[in-house]
Amino acid sequence: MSGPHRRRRHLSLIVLLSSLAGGCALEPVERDVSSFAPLIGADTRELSNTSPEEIRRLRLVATNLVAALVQIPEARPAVATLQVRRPASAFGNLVVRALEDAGYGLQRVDADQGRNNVTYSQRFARTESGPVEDFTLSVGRIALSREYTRQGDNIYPASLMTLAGINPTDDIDLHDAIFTEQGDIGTAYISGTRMRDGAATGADVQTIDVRPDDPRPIEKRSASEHVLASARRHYSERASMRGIPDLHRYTRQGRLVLLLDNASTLYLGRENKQLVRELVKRVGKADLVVVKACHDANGRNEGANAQAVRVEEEVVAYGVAADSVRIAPCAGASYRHVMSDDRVTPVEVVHFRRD
Amino acid sequence: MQEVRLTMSSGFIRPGGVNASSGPARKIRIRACALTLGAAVLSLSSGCTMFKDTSGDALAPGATLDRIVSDDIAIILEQVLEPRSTTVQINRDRADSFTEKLAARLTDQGFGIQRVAADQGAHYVEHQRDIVLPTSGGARVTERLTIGTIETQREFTIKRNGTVRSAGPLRIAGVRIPLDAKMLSKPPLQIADPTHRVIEYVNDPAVEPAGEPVREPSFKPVGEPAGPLERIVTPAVVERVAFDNREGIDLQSLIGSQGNPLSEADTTTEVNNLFYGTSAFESELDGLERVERQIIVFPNDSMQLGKANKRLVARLARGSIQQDDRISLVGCSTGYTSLSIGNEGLAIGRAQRVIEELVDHDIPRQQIFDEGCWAPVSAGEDFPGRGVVIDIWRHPA
Repeated sequence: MSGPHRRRRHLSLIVLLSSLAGGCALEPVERDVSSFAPLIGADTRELSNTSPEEIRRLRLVATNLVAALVQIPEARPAVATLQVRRPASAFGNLVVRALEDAGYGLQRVDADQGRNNVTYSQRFARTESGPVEDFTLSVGRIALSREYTRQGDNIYPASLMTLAGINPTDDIDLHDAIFTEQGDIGTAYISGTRMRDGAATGADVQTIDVRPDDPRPIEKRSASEHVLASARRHYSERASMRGIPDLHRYTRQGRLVLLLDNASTLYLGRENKQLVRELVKRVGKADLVVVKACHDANGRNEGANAQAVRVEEEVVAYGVAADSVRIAPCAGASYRHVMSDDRVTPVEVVHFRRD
Repeated sequence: MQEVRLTMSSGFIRPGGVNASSGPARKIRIRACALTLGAAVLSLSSGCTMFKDTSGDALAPGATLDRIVSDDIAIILEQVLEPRSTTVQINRDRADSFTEKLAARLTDQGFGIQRVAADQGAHYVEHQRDIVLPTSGGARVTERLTIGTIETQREFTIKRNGTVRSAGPLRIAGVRIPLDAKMLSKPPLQIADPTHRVIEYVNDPAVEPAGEPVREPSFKPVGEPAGPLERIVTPAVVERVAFDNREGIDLQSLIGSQGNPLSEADTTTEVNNLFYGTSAFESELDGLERVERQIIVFPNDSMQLGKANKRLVARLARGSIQQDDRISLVGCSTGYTSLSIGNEGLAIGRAQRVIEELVDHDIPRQQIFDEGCWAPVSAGEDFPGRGVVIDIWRHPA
């Protein structure tokens, strides 16, 4: 036997022996991807085969698109159950997980079933500005797309976010700061929205510069779940600023006060949920439901607003049209009492009927 | 050896922590497979629960039970709800094996699954498993599952050889159609008695399956109640509180006890406002101007209006309040009170008392917007410590 052949045989034997000594088969060890894999129907192999850096970049994009989606009235998690297929790419897995984290109800389907069927794509292109990647997320007839460009290990938006299938809105906060946190001081990118047909949305378009104090170490960057929660909160805050119709045209039908365990909980409890169910049974199509929580002693009403949003979503979950439920704004008061954190807190729900 | 009881729950709104109960058995509540309660009793590992009896022998992997229960509930839900148009809410913080199995099963069934941070939604899932390990060996398990208004309960026994047998029929509440029982109770579940194949409908007169019994509900878990306390305060409750206070019963016993739950009528009655803080009616009062303010002062720790105050209210009703006026009414109680109904009860009760008086003078109830103002400390000069502030609001001429 020639020398090279003998060496190759020895090498094979060493590999075989070492694997037998280890008592295990030569299977690749999968990374723990549970923190970003979909909770149901994940393709963990696809995620394991993707580098952590690439997952981080793709997750930023998925978060960016889903954070915008939750702010579109007809696609809010409270009103839309989405249909998704089992993801077959790393980006797909991350989109589905972001949708889960955003609070969407997800139905698994085998084809493009359903009114809110989710599709997504990642395309590569060489443009006059250099190579860009075009990501799209669609839910039914709604589509969000944006170009992104890589810079070193990081990724940044390379275009405005394009919206289609919705009425022009200037209410979407893109939460683009998640890109600024990556670093690359001196990098600039464009932030804002536009409609697919070129029409303006009314939102500000601005150039964001990464400044020296923007970069954060990776463990201190905004978590995807927090960004998505912030996006939902932003929508609700804007929604509450829409104001309440002229109540003189309505007759008050009923009023209830839900009592929550403390100033920060979002748990309603069975009895409160039962009360909401009872109320919803009486609400007609043209009726109005006004939710009000104003118990925060600091006047900022962050905790109270979160509870108002929680109750609003509960009312909507039982079938009342989202447009028929409004959160009443709070105004300052001179007789507001300081409440301790563990104090039972009230949220008022008033049912009005159009005269 | 002593009999041991365990309770595992997931998705419950107010899980109870760890409690020891009295009686012949020791009962311990465990949340969401998160606690290892001594290796001698229960071992949990990577999504696979193994029961061990009091002798330490392994009984059966909890996965079998998980599968039986999740299969049954999925079959029930499929009959009651349309999967393609129903989304079930599961708490995102619950990662126990049963919850995961149920989510996967419902997903396969076509239901939408929504991971929620609290008890959101119309079909929020709660699960509780009570395990009794008798001294005679084996285990007796009670599975209780709630999805929205649908509630199921069933008892099982687990033999030492690992088989899971029925210990009773499936009991169900909150459905309005008779269910097909043939689909349920399939292997690996062993049916110990043919009567266990029947579905028992509990406390739901809307269900009228021929020949099937309707019994009183007995869905109380072993020992501690699973649900939150009743905390709905209505005028009727305030009345009862005021009455029972004289008998020495405190507020909590009326509005916070499972032993004295409110009647259905109470929980569905319109509830008076209990707000701290800003008025709930600012938008109602927009564009109006306040034309008069009257403060009705009550005696200390009292809801008695008294003759003088009645005259004041009568004067307002007859002389000041006009047809299109809005009346803002804030019942107050601040500072120390010796009554066990507390400042809240006093404030609400006082407001209620004045409202009754106004209504007696033909002021329409819907013209009155009542709110509360109470605290254990003084509200300063903004509101009286023990009174009701009545403001009359009117469109500018």
